[in-house]
Amino acid sequence: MVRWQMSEARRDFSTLVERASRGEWQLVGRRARAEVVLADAAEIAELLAAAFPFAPQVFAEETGVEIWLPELEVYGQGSTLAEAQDDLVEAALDFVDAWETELRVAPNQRHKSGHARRVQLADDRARVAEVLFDATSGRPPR
Amino acid sequence: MRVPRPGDLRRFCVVDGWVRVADAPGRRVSKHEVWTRRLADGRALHTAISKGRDEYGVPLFARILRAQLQVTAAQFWLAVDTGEAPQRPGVHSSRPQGEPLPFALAKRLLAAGLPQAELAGLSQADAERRMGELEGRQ
Repeated sequence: MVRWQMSEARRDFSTLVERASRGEWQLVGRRARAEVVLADAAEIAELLAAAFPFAPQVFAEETGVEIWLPELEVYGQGSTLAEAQDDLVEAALDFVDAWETELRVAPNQRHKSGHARRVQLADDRARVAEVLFDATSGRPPR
Repeated sequence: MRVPRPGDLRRFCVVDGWVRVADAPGRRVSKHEVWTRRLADGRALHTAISKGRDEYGVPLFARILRAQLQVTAAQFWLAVDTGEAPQRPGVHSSRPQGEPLPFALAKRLLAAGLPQAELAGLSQADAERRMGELEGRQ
């Protein structure tokens, strides 16, 4: 496996990206120690999905629906299940924003890293919804 | 159990010294009110007040208290009603109330035609039984 020095990586960055997108992890560092890994985002998402599944919990009320997401400790509400799902997507995005800027260094929030990264890697709201609600999300296509 | 309205959660955050996360330039604008709080021991708390409903169910409120606000119901209402900030630590070893339904099961039941009002109050065992009945009918 190739280990790039920082100066080489800077010079040949497009080569690193090309190789990483083919599934070859590119390790970059100073001296003999790898400090950064450049890897294919889909592969990372797949690995995270296997290790950090989501299990949303539904509380149905007569006048509405509430969903609790225990992995991030956030909730969504609505008058229907679909509305509550959409609200939970918003809450998960709110959490990840706060997690990235402030929460991730706190000792009681660090353990949420894997789940927060899964939401972070999703590109848009539809993909976030898939990550949260589709138990098969992240598995490779057959 | 007394349950709050969104305004009660907002009042608690103000009394307890939480900071509202502003919609700073470059950040996504949220539909929720996002609040954070740093505790002296380094813990960081986070809550987002949803506008999805104007009230909270008992099971959800229990989870918000335990996981997000990290206070007891008594501490919460004391803060909201009298303006007295809660003293931490000293909280919540009990399990939250209310049995949730797994998301996939709830969605299948609704898709199979079960009214939402009927879904309310079903235990997981009852919900699975009901699913079996609905599937058997199809």
